[in-house]
Amino acid sequence: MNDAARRAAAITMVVAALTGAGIVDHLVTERRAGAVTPPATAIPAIRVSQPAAESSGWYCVGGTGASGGAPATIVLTNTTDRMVTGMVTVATVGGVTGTRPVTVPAEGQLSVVPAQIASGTWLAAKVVLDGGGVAVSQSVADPLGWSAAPCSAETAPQWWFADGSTAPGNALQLSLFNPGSTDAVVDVTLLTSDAGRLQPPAYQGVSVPAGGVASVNLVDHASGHASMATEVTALRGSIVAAQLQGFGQAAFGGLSLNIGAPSPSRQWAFAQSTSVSGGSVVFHVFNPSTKAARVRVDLGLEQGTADPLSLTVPARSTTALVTAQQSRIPANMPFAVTFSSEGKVGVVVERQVVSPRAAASAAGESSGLPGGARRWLVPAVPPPGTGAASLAVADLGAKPVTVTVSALTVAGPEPIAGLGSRVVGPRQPLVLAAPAGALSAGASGGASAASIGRAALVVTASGPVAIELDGYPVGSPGVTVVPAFALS
Amino acid sequence: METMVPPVVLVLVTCDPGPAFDETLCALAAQDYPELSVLVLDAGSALDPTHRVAAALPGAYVRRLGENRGFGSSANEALSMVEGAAYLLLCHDDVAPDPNALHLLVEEAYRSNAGIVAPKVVSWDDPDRLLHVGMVVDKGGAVVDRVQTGEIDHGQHDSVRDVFFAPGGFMLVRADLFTELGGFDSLVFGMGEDLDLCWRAQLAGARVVVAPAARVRHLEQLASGRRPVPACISPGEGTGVTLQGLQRRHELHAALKAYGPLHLVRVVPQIVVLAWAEVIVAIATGNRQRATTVLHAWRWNLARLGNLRTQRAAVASSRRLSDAEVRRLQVHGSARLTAYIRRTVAHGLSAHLDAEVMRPDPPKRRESDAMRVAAWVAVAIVVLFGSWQLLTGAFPVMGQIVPIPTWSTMLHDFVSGWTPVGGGAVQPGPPALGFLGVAGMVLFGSVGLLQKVVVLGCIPVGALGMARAASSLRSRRATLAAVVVYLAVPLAYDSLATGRWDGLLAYAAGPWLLVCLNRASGLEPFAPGTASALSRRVLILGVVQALGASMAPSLLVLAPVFGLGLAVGTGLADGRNGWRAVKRIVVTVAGSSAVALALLAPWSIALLAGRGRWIALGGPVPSPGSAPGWGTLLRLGIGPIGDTPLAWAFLVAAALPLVIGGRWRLKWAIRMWSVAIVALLAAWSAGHGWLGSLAVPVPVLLAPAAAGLALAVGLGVSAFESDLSAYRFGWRQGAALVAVVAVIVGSLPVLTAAVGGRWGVAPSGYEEAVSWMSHASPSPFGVLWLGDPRVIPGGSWPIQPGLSYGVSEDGLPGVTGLWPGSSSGQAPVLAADVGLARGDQTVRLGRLLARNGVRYVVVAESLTPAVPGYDSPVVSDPPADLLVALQRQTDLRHVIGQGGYDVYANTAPGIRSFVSPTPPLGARWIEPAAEVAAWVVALGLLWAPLRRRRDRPAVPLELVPELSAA
Repeated sequence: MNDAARRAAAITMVVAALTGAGIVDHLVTERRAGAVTPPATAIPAIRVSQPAAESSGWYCVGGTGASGGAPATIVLTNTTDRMVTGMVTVATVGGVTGTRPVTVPAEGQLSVVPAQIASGTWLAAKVVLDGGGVAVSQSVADPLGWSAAPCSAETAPQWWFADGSTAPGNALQLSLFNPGSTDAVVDVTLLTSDAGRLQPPAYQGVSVPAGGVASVNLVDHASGHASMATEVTALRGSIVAAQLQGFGQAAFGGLSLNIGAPSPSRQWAFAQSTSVSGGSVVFHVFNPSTKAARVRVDLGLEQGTADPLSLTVPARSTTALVTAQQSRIPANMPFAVTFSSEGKVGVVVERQVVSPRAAASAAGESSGLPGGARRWLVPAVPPPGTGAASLAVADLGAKPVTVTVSALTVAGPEPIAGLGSRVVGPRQPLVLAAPAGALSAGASGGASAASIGRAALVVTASGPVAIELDGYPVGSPGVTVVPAFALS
Repeated sequence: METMVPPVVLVLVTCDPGPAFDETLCALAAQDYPELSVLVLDAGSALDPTHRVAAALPGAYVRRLGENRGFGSSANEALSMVEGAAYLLLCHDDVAPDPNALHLLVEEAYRSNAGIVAPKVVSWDDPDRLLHVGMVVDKGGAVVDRVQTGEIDHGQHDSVRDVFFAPGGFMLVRADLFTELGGFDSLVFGMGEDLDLCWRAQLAGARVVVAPAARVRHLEQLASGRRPVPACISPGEGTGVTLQGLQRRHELHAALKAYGPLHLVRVVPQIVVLAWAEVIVAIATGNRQRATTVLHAWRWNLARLGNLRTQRAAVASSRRLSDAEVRRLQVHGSARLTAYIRRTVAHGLSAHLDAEVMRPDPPKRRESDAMRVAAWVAVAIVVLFGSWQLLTGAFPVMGQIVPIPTWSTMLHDFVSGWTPVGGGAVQPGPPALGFLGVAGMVLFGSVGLLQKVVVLGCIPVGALGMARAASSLRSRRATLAAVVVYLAVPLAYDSLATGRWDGLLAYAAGPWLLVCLNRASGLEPFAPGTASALSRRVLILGVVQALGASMAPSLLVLAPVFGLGLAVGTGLADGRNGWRAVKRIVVTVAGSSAVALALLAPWSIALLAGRGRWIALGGPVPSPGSAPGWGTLLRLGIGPIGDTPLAWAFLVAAALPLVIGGRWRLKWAIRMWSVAIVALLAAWSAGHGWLGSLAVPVPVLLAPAAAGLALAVGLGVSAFESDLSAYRFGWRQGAALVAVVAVIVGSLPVLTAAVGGRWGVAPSGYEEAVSWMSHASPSPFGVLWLGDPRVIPGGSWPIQPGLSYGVSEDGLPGVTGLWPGSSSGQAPVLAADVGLARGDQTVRLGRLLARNGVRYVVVAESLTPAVPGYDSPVVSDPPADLLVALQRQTDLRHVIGQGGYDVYANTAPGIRSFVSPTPPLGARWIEPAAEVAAWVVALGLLWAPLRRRRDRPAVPLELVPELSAA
């Protein structure tokens, strides 16, 4: 080989190697950047840790003490076959005031009333358990009605609420719990549908003492807003935030306790909603990011199909989806809704339901489920609930899934007789109605449809599903929702 | 048939010719020049050579002169004996010209209109080795050869050019010029008559050129010591005059005779000063003979001032050119002084005195000596200025640049076989502890200075290695270019700025490994060498590898990367002809790796036998998402300095030898590019996690690429000097210009970074961020570090790609953590605890960590703590779930959450003591003793040949310049 041939071969090799490697690098980088994002799954805040966990912790906030008007009851649901011990520490505005050891029976529930441990207007509780497999939720009740919400398994520096109302006659209280050992400082920002972004000075630099609670009455400095999203940012420390919403009066009103979302999610699911004639169902979609969000709304009907809707939510703003205005959503028929944000922009979605019937618990606010899971735990309907109206299961995947509903009994999860395994089509809601008055009728013995609402339920599916358990007495489906926990 | 060539008379001077004379006669007889007459002048040989001449050259005329009056005086007989010749070919009796040598000389004489033409003179025994290709002098008449001792003839000097004088062994002189000059100086009996003649010829306006196409073998019996200095060569002075003495006095004589009055006034004082300085130094260092030689030169010339005046008048009468015009062909400065300084620097004072060899550079090189020195000084200034803040201050704690314990602690840990890694582990001590311990002791315990030496010292060590590697290019400009480019690639400074000590070590070791492998390959221009030479190369390479790998185990992959690149490149460049070289490369790499592992045993054995062998070798796997892209790798810029498009320029410069190179330069350019591409591909694969568990750090793998590209640039300069002239003017000359601009442009990022004085290194590291811990907690306490392995200070173990953990005692991690060894102590337990927290398996991580003495958890998110608006360090976020999991823990208090790191204090009760008890000193003495013994054996094997070489008698100065022989 002479120099000329050698030179040509060498230059060819060098150019080919450099170019080829560059192309491969480009392809790999593109593939990594454009990798299909995994399906959204339930965020850790509402996920029950594994039974074998060394310990687990929950933070409950939003309820009041005995003197606060909406006293809370903490419900511990043990999914394991062994009893779990732990400690409940109750905090007030001034800090930790009382602790109580607890033992949660195997496959059973335990209720703890914080007001019995400490006194104060606003209470919060830290539940630390010597193991996993236990879900902790809380319920509140007052003359307006009752509400249940999950406790949070984590603290976070930011929390978001998609909706709240300070319209005349409504009350909106934001509770902040700092379980850490250093003081937290919090800014509260409001995004209203009519006045835009609000940062009332009184809500800036709110101090939340270490181990203590702070409560912010949003009506004081942001009254008169029919709908507003709330953004809670801890400048220092890590907290848990919840909103207690009061609607109207006792004759026609409601009470809602909502834990915030610690992070926006690309998917929110509501397994069952019903647009009752005369009432209203409104979904509030909050985009806290600095980029506009394109949200696809998939509707699942029990019969037939409906084309998805599309929403564009500008950056740092909210958009409302009023179901009554959507012709493709039939009235008085249950439907499932899934909000999927395209791209990487996460959103927060909440649902406001108003019943046409004048009664307590005629209006309510509830969060959707941020993603699906294959196993769900739903605690029993807490007092003063009187029973379950329905249990809905919605398939979030593209293929049919098989769903099995079991009741948590002393002997372990026991499939509910008569329900068996059901196949749920894609995006379709499966609504399992409990016999009316089953709970009040005191049905007992064995796991039957009557167990829905009476006992904790374990829903197992062959694919990711979302579930929703509505409780009685309510004026309309979706007003009062029993929280569900994803099981590992 | 009538010939049309000018008649030439060959004047052959003999004096007791040796056995080679017959070969000389045969070679002369074989000349293909048709108009050649031979005149043999026998200068007093004991035996009449006539019959020997007649046997080979029947037509030759032999004249016996009766006495040896020296070559010049004897040759002058031709002035009266020869008529009608156009040229005289003056030659010694120990030369053997190629058959066409005379033909080519005459051709060149006509073509160049030269008065004197010299051939390329090669060794008698080894015609591949050059002796002379024309010669030059400095202003004082000191002779400088254009070739280096033993230089192989690769055609690098095969261009016709003007020289100051032609060596006298075989010299074609125009007959009328010889007559006009009056022949040789009759006072010069030997060693310098050719210089004198040519100098006068230059002044007379005649060109002196060398025609390398004509080749002559020369035995140089007198200069090589084969023939004693005859007593008659220096009448009245006995045999006490050495060849060096003759040379020095004749050089001085020529200078005193040739310069005009103005130049004489200017030059003589300089010569006097240098001579006296030389005498003083020679006396001071006990070299009396040298002092005598210098003094003799002056005494001899001063004793002949009368003759000198007469001869100066004769020169003046024939002068046609001024001294200034003639001095264009002289080298600047003092060749002797420069050689003295160079040898003193290289070998020390004593080595210089006994073995001074004045083989200064060829004229054009010498002309650029000042520029080269200035360039070297400028490079040194840039590097020093760029490092001054680091040299005068302390290093921040970041990455692998972490505090070094006291030398006694390191030696204790090395000898005891106990390291505080992971809370304490008993294992064979890393040899690096021994090396650093001894180094710290030598530096009187100054660990701060030790850290500067082992970190910043990597840059000059790498540059020296590149100078060594590029010295094979046989071009000082090429060497300078290669070194400048190697210093200007951002790799070293980016490694420094990102706290990658292993990158710096690879930068330092890379060129040295390349030197060993290049030489072991036996590829042109390196001699293939014997099996024992190859064994020696293997041993040297093994020692270099072991030294590097002891500090950074990942450096063990460098030799295989270099070897693979060289093998692939050799396959491309040489095809099947390179198979033998490839085998030598493979054997060298395999053998040297085995030697390195043996030298590092038992530490290396424990390391590789452990389950985490690949992690110990390459370190934890960083996050693939933050892997540098192909463009970043091509720029060799993995940090802030190389993060600019200007860094692409070196690729352009390195492409030059592929475009204009020829012969071995093109082949080596292919090999160097092959090395670079193999290293770049390996770095890309490692960065993207394609090498599996063997996550060799990218900076380490980029070192071979940097070395390969820098050497390619050097090859480009060498090709520019040697090969470009073979092309007609065109785009290739433009390519050379582009390459020069590319080198300048590519150097700008580093030059700019030098202004800051700290190469982009952050002003402060984690030392201040965690200093409060020791005040807040009783010692000893543990600190658990979590984050990307690239930002965790000290060593770490992997949890997952992009997340590692390290453990330190009482705050900052130390340098001992950089060598994780075979045992990681209790550290894995801590990692398991963190896994529980991340897996939502516990909210009481503090309680778990308390069992192992951990009081603080630090999550490093950036290389150094960030100071907003002032410092923006490299950021590498840990997995998102880590902070969420830590926030969830009920017994970890979030103490600090800004500035690029988070600190959690453990609030769990009952935190235990962190450190395991230290075993007694010498509990595992066998292992360190074995390591020391292995090094002693290896160094002994290396030292023995060096000592034999040193004990060999040095070549006396007077034998080397080889001005004229016989």
